[in-house]
Amino acid sequence: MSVVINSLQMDENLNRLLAFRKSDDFDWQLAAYSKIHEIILKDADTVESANINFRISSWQSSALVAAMLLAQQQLNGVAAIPAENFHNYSKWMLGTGSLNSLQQSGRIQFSQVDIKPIDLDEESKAESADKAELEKIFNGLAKKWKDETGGSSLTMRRYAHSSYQSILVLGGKEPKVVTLILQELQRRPDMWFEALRRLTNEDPAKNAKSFEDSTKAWLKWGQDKQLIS
Amino acid sequence: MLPAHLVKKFPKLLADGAKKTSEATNQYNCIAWSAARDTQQWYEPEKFEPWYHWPSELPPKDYTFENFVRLFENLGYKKRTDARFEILYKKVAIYAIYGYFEKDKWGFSHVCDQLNSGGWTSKLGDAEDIKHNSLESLEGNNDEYGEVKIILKRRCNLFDIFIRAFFKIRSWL
Repeated sequence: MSVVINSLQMDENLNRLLAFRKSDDFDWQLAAYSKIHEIILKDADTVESANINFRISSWQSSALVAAMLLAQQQLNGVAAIPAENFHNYSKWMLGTGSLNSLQQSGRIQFSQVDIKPIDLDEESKAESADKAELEKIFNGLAKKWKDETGGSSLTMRRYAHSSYQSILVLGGKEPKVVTLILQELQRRPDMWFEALRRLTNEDPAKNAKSFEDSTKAWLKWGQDKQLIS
Repeated sequence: MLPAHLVKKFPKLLADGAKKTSEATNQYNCIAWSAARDTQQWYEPEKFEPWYHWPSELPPKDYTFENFVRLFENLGYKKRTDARFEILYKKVAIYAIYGYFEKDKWGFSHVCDQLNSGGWTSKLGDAEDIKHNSLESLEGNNDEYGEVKIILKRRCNLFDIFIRAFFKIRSWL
């Protein structure tokens, strides 16, 4: 099934995204791809190509594609995405030319796409700003995830939440996200274990008998790796 | 007093007069609490973590509503009923949301059980345990628990019948 996006609304949304960025809005990124997610769901039957023509950094494009994939999953009638698929999404999206492969597979069609990682010089200049922004994005996603899934009786629902999956996607691109997760686990213990396993391919808590044991095991792992103090 | 985050999610709990009865924990969930008063394991069909549990006689990784109902049926809860307090029967109420896991199907969202006093006890996800007086106080929010889909009952043991009778008589006085 291919997801075709209404160009007019997409452009409108992307303009909004850029406006958010210019206004330095705290949650612009979060709002942007939440909105894209919504729009894709709403306009899935519109047979028109999207016209995206702007530059965003690599991890931003990951988040964008994540939103698209989530929408696609929901359109296919899978409300909850199985946990075992999380890592595949990340790998798929983060591979070189992942967006091109998405287009070639016919899953997402664009008439014009220019979503490229910015060049190395620019990347270097923007590095510290990006880090701060990444932290803001992570904190926004983590808060949204906690707020919206905190009362959930099933962990499946929590792990399948779009914010949690977006964190996985960001983490696959930006190693610093693992540190941010560990810091969050230190401050406010919560179910970050699946994300940590997926992003590190390690499981220091595999013999844990309790939530507390798992938390301690991961924090010790983070300290041993000098990711947290 | 109820924590603010619970009131925000379930505003009807205020009028209900609900009370917090434990601290928040990720160690167990509502199913573990209502099925077995198990505070050491989190009951869920998929074993995400080592301390997770799902009865071996039930299919793992199966999130259909029927699988959750079967868990309680296997514990002796059989007959579908209503929320009325009955001295001879203990009840569990299972909440569900339409389209929660699969399109056009009800998906399990929460379970609570009736106390000997006639009130209800709920473990709210990874948050606190609460005692609430009505099932409706947790209903009405499709981002949370949706609505009560079925209520099941099973015969109480003699001790519980005695306690329940005491509460019933006290309510008449």
